Parts: sequence; C-alpha cells; structure tokens
Amino acid sequence: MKKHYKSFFLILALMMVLTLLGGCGSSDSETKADTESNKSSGNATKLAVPYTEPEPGAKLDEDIVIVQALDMISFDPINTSDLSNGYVINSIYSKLFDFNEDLNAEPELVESYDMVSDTEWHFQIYKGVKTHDGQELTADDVVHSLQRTQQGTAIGALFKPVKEISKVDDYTISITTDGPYPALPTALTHQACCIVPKHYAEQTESSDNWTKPIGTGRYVFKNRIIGDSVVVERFDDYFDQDNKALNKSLTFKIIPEGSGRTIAVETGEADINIVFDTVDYERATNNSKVQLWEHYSQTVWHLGYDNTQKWFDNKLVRQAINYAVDREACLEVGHNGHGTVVYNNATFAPTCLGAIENPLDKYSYDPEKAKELMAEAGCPGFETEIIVFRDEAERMAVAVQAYLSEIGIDAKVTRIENAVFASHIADHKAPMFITSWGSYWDPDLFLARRFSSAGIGGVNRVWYLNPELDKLIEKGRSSFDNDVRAKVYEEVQEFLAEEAPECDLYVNTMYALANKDLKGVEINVEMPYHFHKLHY
Amino acid sequence: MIKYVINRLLNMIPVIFALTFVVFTIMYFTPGDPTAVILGNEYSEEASQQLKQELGLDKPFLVQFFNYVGNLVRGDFGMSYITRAPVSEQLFGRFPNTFKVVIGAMIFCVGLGVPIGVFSGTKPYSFLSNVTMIIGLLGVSLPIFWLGLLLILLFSVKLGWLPSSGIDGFSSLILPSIALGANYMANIMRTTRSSMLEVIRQDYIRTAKAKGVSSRNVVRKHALKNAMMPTITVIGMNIGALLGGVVLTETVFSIPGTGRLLVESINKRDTPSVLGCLVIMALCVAISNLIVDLIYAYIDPRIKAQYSGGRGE
Repeated sequence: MKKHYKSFFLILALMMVLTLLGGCGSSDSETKADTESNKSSGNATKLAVPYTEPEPGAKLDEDIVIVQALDMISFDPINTSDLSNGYVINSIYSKLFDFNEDLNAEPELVESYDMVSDTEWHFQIYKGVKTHDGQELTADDVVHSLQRTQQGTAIGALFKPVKEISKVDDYTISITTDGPYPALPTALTHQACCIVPKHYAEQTESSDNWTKPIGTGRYVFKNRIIGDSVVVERFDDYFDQDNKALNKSLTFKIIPEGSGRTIAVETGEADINIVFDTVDYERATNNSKVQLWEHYSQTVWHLGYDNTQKWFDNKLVRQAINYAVDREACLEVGHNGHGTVVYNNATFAPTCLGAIENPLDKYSYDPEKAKELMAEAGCPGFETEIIVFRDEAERMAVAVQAYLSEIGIDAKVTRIENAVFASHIADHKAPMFITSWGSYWDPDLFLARRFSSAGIGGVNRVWYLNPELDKLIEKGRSSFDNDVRAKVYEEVQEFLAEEAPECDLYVNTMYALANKDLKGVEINVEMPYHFHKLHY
Repeated sequence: MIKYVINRLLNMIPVIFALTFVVFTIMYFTPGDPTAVILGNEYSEEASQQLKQELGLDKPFLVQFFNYVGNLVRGDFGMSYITRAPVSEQLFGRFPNTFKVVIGAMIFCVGLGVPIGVFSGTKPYSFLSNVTMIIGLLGVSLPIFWLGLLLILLFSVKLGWLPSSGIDGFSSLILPSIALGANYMANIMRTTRSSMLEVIRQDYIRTAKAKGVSSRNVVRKHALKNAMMPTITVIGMNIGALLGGVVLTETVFSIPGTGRLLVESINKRDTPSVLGCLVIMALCVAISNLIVDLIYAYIDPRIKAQYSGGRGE
C-alpha cells in the first residue's frame, strides 16, 4: 500500500513538473514584457489606419509570412465568396474596383467611369495593363470575366440588378442594370469580380485546371501546398508602379488552431496572424515582441427568430425579447468584451450609411419592460430552441437562454454544423438562432436580401416580409444622393426597431497580431487586407 | 506464402467496396448541404439548385453511388465538391505528411516502448522499473491535444529548439511524433512488460539460466522472441489507432495531412474527399495488418507453416 502511495505522489510530481515546464513556458518573456510594458506601456493595441508611404531605409525586399485559419478553396474567383479565399486571390487578380477601409469602392483597373443614364455605366480601364504572362488586358478580358461572374453563384444577389455586360471599345466596358443601382461600384469590389484574362479563363475552362492562376494583380502565383501554404511573388510589371508591393513575396500559411497562430508570430515563424483569437488577448498585449492591431468591424452578431412561427409572429413578443437580452453580457461571453454593442434590428453596423445608434431610443436591457410586453401580448411563455453552429454563438446562446427564462421563454440550446444551418432555416427548424452578418457600408447591398422576399430561401433567415419595408428599400435605391439615401435608411431602422424582426447584439473588434517591427498593417471592417503594404 | 499474400490483397477489394457503400450511404443521408457551405452568405434556393446540378448532386442516390464506384475502379477519386479540384490531387499532396507523422510516431513508440518494457519486465521491482511504469501511465493519461500544446510551449516558445507548426524537414517531425506516439508507446511498453514477466517465469528460461547462459543472452535469444507476439499484435492494432489519432496531432501542429482533410471534409459534407481519405486509410490499415501477420510468420514457425498450408504442428 505504501508503495502505491509513493507511486501516486511520484506521478503527481511528474505531472506538475511537466505542466510547469510547458504551461509556463513563456513566463520569462511575459515577465520581461510586463516590466517593459509598465515602463513604456507600449504594448497596448494600435488602431490599424490606412498606411501611406514607407519610411526612408525601410526593407522592401522581405518575404512575409501570413498565417490564416483555413485553406483557400479555389483560384477560380467565381467558385466561392469565402474570406480565406479572398486573402489569396485578391493578391493575384485585379478588379475594376478595390475596397477601402469601409468596404467602399476605390478604382483599381478603372481609370475613369461615368453614368450614361440611370441604368447604364461606362468604365474605362487603364491602357497597358500587363497580365502575368505578358499580354495586355483589354475590355474583352473584363467582359468575359464579369460575364462568368454573372453566371456563377459566388456573387449571389449583388449582381441580380445587372442586366448586360458588354464591350464599348478596347478599353471601355458597359454595364446596364434593370433599374438605378448606385451600389454597383461596391458590388464590383466583391472577390468574385476578380478579372481573369480571357485566354487563361478559356484554357482553364477546357482543362478544368486552375492550379496555376494568371491575373494582373500585384503578385504572381509561385506554388501551393494544399492544406499548408500558398506562395505568391511580387509582379514587377504591375501596372500601377506607385502602388506595387512593398515586399518580395507573401506566404499564406494555414494554422487552424488559434493559439498555434499566436505562437507562430511569437516565435517568428510568421510575421502576421490575420485571424486572431481573442482568447490570446492578454498574452499578446503582454509580449513586447509582438504588436496587436485593431479596427472596428461591420460584423453584426445577432439573435434571429423565425417571424412566421407562433409567438415570434407577435410584434410585442419580439420587442419583449429585445428588452430581455443584455447585449453587454453577450459581448463579454461572445468576444471577451472586444467590440461595441448595437441597439438595432436591421443588421446596421454603426458605420453603415445612415446608421443611427439606437433607433427611436427604444431598446436597452430592461427585463421589467420585457415582462410587461409579454403580458400585453397575452403570452404565458413558451418552449423554443436556439440553434448555433459556432463557438462564440454557443457561449452567447447560454447567456441568452438565461435572460429569456426570466420572461418565461424556455429555450433549449442546440449546436449544429455549418453545413446544416441553411437547411434548418429553409425548413423552419430554427425558431431562434445566433449568428453573424458582415454588413456593407451601403445598406442597399444587404437590406433586401435580409428582410424581403428576395432573400427568402436564402439569407432572409428571420422570414420577415413587409410590403411597407419593400417600398422603403426601393426608395433607398432610387437616389444617387447619399444624403437623401441616408435619410431613407434612418427611416428603415426606425421602422424595423418598431417591428423588431431580429435582435442585433454587437459588432466585434477586428484584430491582427504582427511582429512589432512589421509596418503597413491595415485592417478594414471585414478583414486585414492590403498585404502588399507589409514590410520591415 | 505468396498465395496467402495474394489472397489477403484480394480480400481487400470487398472490404473497400463495403466501406465505400457504408460511408457513401451515411454521408448521403446525413443532414447537411455542401452548397450551403460553398455559398455562405450568398446562399439562395436558386443558387443552391444551380450548384447541385453542376456538382451532380441532383441525381438519385444509386446513380451517384455507382458513378463514384465506377470512377474509383478506374483509380479516379472524383472531384471535391468544395474545391472543384481532383480529390486524388489533395490526397497525394497530404497523405505523405500523414505517413511521415505516423511512421515517426511508430518509431518513437516502438523504439522506446519495447526496450523500456523489456527492461521493466526483467527487473520488475527496481526503482527504474517503477519510474518507467509511471512514464507509461502518464503517456496513457495525457490527451494528445494537451501534450502537443505543452511540447510546443516548452520546445518552441520557451527553448526555441523546434518549430511549432508545419512539416518542413526532420526537426518539424519530432514534436508531432512524440505527441502522437506517447499514448501508444505506453501501451507497447506495458504489453511488452507483462509479456516479459510471463515468459521470464517459464521453465525453458530457468533451464537456460541453469545451463549458465548469460542473463543478456537469456533475454535476447530466449525470452524476447517469445514475448514479442502480444507486442506485435498491439503494434498492428496501434497503426489503425495512430491513423485515427493523427487528426488531433495534425490540428495542433498545423500539418496538412489526411486526418485534418477528413474532418474538414465531413464538416463541409464533401463526400468525395471523405471517401478518398477513408479509402486510403483503410488500405493502410489492411496493408499494415498484412505486414504484421507476415511478421508473425517470421517470428513463429508454427504460423508460417499454417500460411504455407501445413498443419502448423
């Protein structure tokens, strides 16, 4: 017996030693970082603002390693709208318009553009744009590429208003729409609108081999190891010499595990982690070798509910839910407090055109008001289910479950897989759900899809239909004056605050973790981007 | 013997066919839609139908299944629904990485497990034997995920000796092999120890000792060969388990292997990729079991005689 005790304690001691050796592996550097940060407090997060020009003496010939969580899917831009794909293909291909910090359109291949009428646009592209295999890009390439985009599925509803894409002359493209479509340039920033030269597209369509992509972007494809990495090298003949890459090459490395990505930057194996897990926030801000960059996002986390189902079809119950949920607590459990709460019901991020902070000054965390509304609706409480498919959403769902129980709603939390989510929505099997939506600056690009018949069976996941709202959405689209449109979108938000078709919770902060000496880090409202500016 | 090997290889065909049918059926009837994953926020009923038509997912179950099997017989694993690239391209890119990690883990667990087990079995109550058994217990108890992270923190972050991710050269294989192999090393060690303990008490060992054979030779020439049979069985079984456990190792150490591909493909309902991974893994398990059976024959003449059609007396 004595022997067994001895062995037990020996095991215990060994486990403790192993844990100490590994688990506290970075204690030295953390202590050092703590001391240094106390001295200079230089490890706070920095706001990633648009970077202008490299300083004298900057190293512009470095190989930059970028870590991301998921492998890219395809070099064919019309195959997917996945973000992990966009990181890579936006480097290889150019588009008519690139997106800026707020996802607004900025001309890239377009030298000038004009509106011939309310429904027809002409875009003139630069002359002398070279493809990676040395040919000149013409309107034929652009027309062929955008027609492919139109036929594909990745662009989704953004190209629905587009009627015809045609060539005017060798460097001019005409796009006609079925009505006024002020958001067209923004739609053209979508990654599915990457321009694939016609000769390459035709060659790949016949061989179905997209393994060696050719574009006109800042980088030339070098090689890909599926599931591991993609390497692209600077294209020295990039048409806009003033904006060519400030580094020699980019390696997109895939590290699926969040802490693994943080460690890769800490150990110098990578220069920047573009999918930062906030679990490592303390660790990152306490390490003097790295810098955590931040930016506000337009990703709106929300609690949705099927407006066609019993009790959710009652406006008063929907309003009660909006009063019952503490959004601050959701932000805390969902993203460790890294973000901004929103009191909105239209998936408007605070930075969208016409966004108002709290439409009608209606909602706040007020359980008593929620109980009153439930009583007014004659709702004795009911059983329901909250569907989630992501970790953050699952954590939030548990908090929401507790808040809803306060007003008599007994919600069960069910986690499903991403692949099943769309069918749950389509089959009305998601009475409540928590997910996120990446909003554009221009609400016209998402309002109709989220809250009208155009999105039924798609991303109108709350099944909300209202002819009055449809008219407002139409009104917002019919003007080219953004001040006028902003007023309309204020109306939309007030209308939806009263209707409460969903309960928006918060927008999370975007982060990127980089080597402290790395310069040119830029993040927009959706993702870190403009990797061509990264340098030392 | 050759006839036996050919028979075993031919037996793999119905096994692979049955596996394909079962997995295909499960994937077909499991709720979920790859087009939802592909389309993401751009999902609409219309786009989903268009995509299903393009991918051939609108065809009846049996048509899809026999199309797949027909292609498989010709050595074509089909196209991934998600990447639209040939599955074989993904498998050939990834399988060598999985193979390297599994072989590394095997070398680690056999290379350490057998000698420690032999030592511990021959000197069962010594201090060193107790220490090795505790290490064995730790190996069985530590989850791969946790051990992997501890190894990364110690050897990559603190000491900076070894890379924390990827697969680029010998040094990048060390930590994944240890993390994956630790659990199985403990199994092998414990099996070898108990087997040695049993053999060492046999009459023929006592006789050998009485004849004045040195302890080293008694262990090496008389005990070890007889004690190895259960150990080889465990090693054979471990190959399947290693292939199963490799997914965690590949995730922690960011190794692009078939284990990770399999899990990602299941989540995305990418049936051709799932089947491709499982067929390759099933072939590996079947071939490694065959090799284990052949090793039995090499070690035990009675089994060799059975394989050759003899009575094995």
